[in-house]
Amino acid sequence: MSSTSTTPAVALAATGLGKRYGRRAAPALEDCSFRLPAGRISALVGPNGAGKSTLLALAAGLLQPTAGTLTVLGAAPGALRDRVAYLGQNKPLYPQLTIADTLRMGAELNPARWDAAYAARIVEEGALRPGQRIRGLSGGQRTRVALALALGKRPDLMLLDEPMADLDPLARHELMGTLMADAAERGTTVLMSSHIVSELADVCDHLLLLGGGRIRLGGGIDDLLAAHTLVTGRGTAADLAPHTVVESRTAGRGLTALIRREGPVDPAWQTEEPSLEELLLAHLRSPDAPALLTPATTAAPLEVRA
Amino acid sequence: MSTTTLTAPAPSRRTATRPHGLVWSVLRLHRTALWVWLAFVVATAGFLLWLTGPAAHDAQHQLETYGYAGVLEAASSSATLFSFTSGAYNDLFYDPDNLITLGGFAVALFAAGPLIGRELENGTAQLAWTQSVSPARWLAAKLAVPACFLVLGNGLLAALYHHLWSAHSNLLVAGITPRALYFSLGPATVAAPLLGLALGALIGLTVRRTLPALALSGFVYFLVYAFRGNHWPFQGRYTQPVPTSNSWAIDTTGAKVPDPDCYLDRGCLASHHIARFAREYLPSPDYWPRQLLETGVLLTLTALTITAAFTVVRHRAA
Repeated sequence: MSSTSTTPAVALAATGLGKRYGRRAAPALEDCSFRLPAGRISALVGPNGAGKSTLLALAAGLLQPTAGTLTVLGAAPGALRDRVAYLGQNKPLYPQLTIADTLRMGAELNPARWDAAYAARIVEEGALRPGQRIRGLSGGQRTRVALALALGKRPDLMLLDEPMADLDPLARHELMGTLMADAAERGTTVLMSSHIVSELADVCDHLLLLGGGRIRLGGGIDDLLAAHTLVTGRGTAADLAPHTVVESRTAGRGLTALIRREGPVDPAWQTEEPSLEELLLAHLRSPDAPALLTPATTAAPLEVRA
Repeated sequence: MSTTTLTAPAPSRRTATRPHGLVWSVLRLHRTALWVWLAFVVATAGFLLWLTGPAAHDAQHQLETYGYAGVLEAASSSATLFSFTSGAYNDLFYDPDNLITLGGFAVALFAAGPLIGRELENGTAQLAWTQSVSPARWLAAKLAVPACFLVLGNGLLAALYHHLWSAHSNLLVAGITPRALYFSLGPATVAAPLLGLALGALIGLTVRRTLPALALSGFVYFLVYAFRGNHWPFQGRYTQPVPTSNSWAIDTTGAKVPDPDCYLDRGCLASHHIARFAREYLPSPDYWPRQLLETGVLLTLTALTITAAFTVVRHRAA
């Protein structure tokens, strides 16, 4: 594990981060502050247009923020390109190259870190021939090659934008396995956006929920689930004080609500721990619920930087 | 799954002779364009050598027999609607210049489209930027590799053309065209396509879509082309001075005599005892000042454009 000894404890740290495309456009990200501890596999979730892709592109050094600061592995975004891998949403690859040439390009452009055998294995597991041109591959096959290119450089931080969207279930399971084995073995930090909640629940141990350009929920998935309770019973949302009601719905003559507990819950209510899906859906349906970030994920109070 | 495949790093390809890293990647991505460019240079160079050698034979014979009248005769013998297809030596002589100009346009379009604009449109530029390569280094390689091939190719063509001018400019019908060619050939011939490359790259970076970038780049390079040779503000109101051409005859005793103005009348020539004619263009003292000034302007504009391109890249990506 010598490769991780130099990794700072924080993989990503944002303070007041904002990005606006053009002066008159609504900001894609606004006043975003959080920390992503190193070594976590974090799910970046949010409705369409929430700013997920923008956040990932900022971290990869592909865009300049219009406000705030972002540090990646303790340095400015783009300063440590050799240690950060990025997989864009549309998985751009050069259509005129063969798979072998694409991997050769990975070797040429990442001279210090390229693991040719590892990259080749990822491609071979998909029954792809090295001589095939990218142009002739299906969407899922392209994703596999793009992932091989991203993983072949053995990054310390992986930024994956909807990595598995166009893979069939078998390939998705297989590639997730490869990805997670690598992450577990090398302590890689992963931040991946996805819409497939079931996929996230299996592999991620950390969550960042973006909504309206801000972080709505951030922290270890277990901590976040433990902080919330799903309650059912007779009464109104007002009866649930002092707990924070994230979302409440009337169900028959009763009420079902997702709350953030402030102390013990009145035993008159039936309680159960929510699933990740219930937690996410409740927050997505109520954009006005206050944000919650666990201590490790909260941005450090303005640190003095040289 | 998690077997540690600590394979030894791939055998080093960093031998001195083979390109690696970004240079390899640029060469591989634009392999077709490179082959097209090499084919263009070889074909144009072959054309120039042919004009220097066998193609000049007939016109040379006409000049030696009839003097300047023979040159006029040779130039008008096979005139067609389009001068570049006439086959007359006087017309063929200018065709490489047209080809080199078209090559410059092709370079400007290539830079705006396949080299830069398409990469930004498809997102493949971001693929390069997320390897261990910063956008600035990426742009530097994207400009430097084609620039090397442009300088070598156009340098060779300009040198061959200059040689052709020295050998056979005496076979050209006097007028604006030989003058314009004389003053445009030289270092500026090499510098203009470099400006096209830089302009295309800047347009590709700012427009970020292939088709509009192609259109804009073609238009902007047309402006460069229109200014070239004759219309730079520093050249003043007047066009280039006419390079002096000398014509003389040599009689059967070997003495240098003036042209007897016999035109194509062999009897008249015989009565003057004319053995053959000769003609030459004298180098103009205005050539180097004009050529170097134009080259300087072109290279300065190239440097400014490249600076702007790097500023755009730095501004966009971290």
